[in-house]
Amino acid sequence: MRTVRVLAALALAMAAGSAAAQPREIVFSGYGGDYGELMKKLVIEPFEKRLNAKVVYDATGSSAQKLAKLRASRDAYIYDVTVFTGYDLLAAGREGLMEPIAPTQVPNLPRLYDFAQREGQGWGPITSVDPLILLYNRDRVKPAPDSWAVLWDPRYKGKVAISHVSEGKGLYLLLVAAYMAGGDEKRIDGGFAKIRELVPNVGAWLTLSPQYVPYFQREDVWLAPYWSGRAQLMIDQGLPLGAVIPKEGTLAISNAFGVPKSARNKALAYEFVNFYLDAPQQEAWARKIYYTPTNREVTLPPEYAGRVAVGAEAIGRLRFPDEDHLARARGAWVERWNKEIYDALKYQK
Amino acid sequence: MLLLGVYFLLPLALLLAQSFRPLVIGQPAPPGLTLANYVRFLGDPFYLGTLRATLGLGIFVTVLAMTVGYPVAYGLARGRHRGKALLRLCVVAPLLVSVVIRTYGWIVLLANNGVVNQTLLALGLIGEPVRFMFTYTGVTIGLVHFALPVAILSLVGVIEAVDPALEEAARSLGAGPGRTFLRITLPLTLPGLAAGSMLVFALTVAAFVTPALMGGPSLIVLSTLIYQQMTVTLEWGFGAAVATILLVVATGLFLLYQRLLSLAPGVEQPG
Repeated sequence: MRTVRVLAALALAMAAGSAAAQPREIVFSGYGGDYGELMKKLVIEPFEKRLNAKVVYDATGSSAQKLAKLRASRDAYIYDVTVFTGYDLLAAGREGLMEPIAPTQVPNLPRLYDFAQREGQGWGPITSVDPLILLYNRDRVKPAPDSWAVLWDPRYKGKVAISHVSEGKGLYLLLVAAYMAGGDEKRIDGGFAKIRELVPNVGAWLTLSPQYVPYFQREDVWLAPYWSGRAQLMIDQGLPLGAVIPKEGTLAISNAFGVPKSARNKALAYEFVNFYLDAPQQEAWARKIYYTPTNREVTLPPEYAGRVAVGAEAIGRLRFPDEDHLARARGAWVERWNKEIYDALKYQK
Repeated sequence: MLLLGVYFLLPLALLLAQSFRPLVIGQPAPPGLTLANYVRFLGDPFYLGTLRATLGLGIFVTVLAMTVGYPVAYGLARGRHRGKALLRLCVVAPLLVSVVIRTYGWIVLLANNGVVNQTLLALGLIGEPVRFMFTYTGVTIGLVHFALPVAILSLVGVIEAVDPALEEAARSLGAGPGRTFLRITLPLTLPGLAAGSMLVFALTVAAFVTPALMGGPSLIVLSTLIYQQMTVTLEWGFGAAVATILLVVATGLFLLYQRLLSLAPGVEQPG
């Protein structure tokens, strides 16, 4: 009898113990490099302190790779919150992998610009946007360019770097080209025609953003369509570069947060998303990484003018493609890009 | 056996199964099996061209690496000089460095404003930079360097195994160095040459980093296509089909090569 009572007490104690040790812990799937370091310092550490929780940082892979991993694991748990490029969030949502996010779970949602609430289609908020800009070598490209047309200027033969369409910058360049030809993401033919015309000017066929840095350092290339935030980081490093949103306007890529259906600690995951959308975190993020925040309460000091598009007016000038369409069309565009540029190069020889 | 199953057969089986799966982007995978992924590749002259380019590049790099590697391996096997240890270290050293780093090294050397072009320009040997980057030449240079340690190491052993007395006998019977090499050394080392070139060929057709960073859109190899499908467009079925086709064709070439070698007189099966 006594043994039973002891065992029962022990069982109770163990149950209580495990309840107390129920970890307030989530795994956040972010990006590596500077992004990861800043994320830890500006967002994760204050969050852990304020909520007495723990955030495990998983820095593996690009947005597309995060989607691939999520798709491969389906119902099995891999992480609680993830960052995604807009179109990857939509693809994941469509495939039934994401948990819907509403203002009841994330009270900061109504503080975002309308497009940032809307474009995630309920699968998550757009947390920041980053416009495609024209990056140029200030010493070599004179006068300072103000139009995308400079990429096609025969004076800059071999001096332009571009990314493959399988990568964001290449995809958005294709869209810019389509807009310049009077089309858009749904009438893409003119875009491909313009990309073919660009081929003689391309001196570097690159993919990921960090690859561009040495090519600009060596002055192998002088011009490139590039992401605004990363361009500002390169300028901060002291390279003689300029970054401009051309007069024709530009398109912006969106970053989103999402919570997968397979997440273990959804409540804490929602709190994390909400915390990231608070004005102080959004502003700290914009100051360091030069992404445009989507919380409409955020302002930046005057020295950021021209470096980060902040405020309703500046954001109003950016265009956002139909990301749903991008998610669907991209596979076909990758194939078409491979074939058309191969042809254009063969013809050129 | 279990290890072989887990590390080799299981992933291959999964890959094979994936290649028959249909996929529509943005929807849960539909059920059923399809040949569409194979039809898409084999029915398209562009994709058949990338297959040809991959195999052609593989053969070209293999011939170059074995040709360049043979004298080095010979020096390592026969040399009695003191620099031998250093030479051996030089051969093995690249294997200790990640291929990504090695490729970035080549980019620093071969870029338009890279070390090689700057030197040639300063010496007045060229009037404008030679284009290495994003050309066939650049990728070939990178891949030969990538494959060279394997080529050399696979040859050193077999050359060492040839009794020097045989070469000395040939020489003392009046054969010149060239004739000795062609009639004695080369035939006796053919098995090593065969095994080495198979390894180098396999490494080259599967290489991803060098073509991705140094090749341009005029040289699309299958590893690049597979990467695009697996990580970007997420059309896994097509990616798996491309991988399966590469595997089948490369294995077919292996078997053919082995068959040809077994017909050559005096050569044992490599293995």
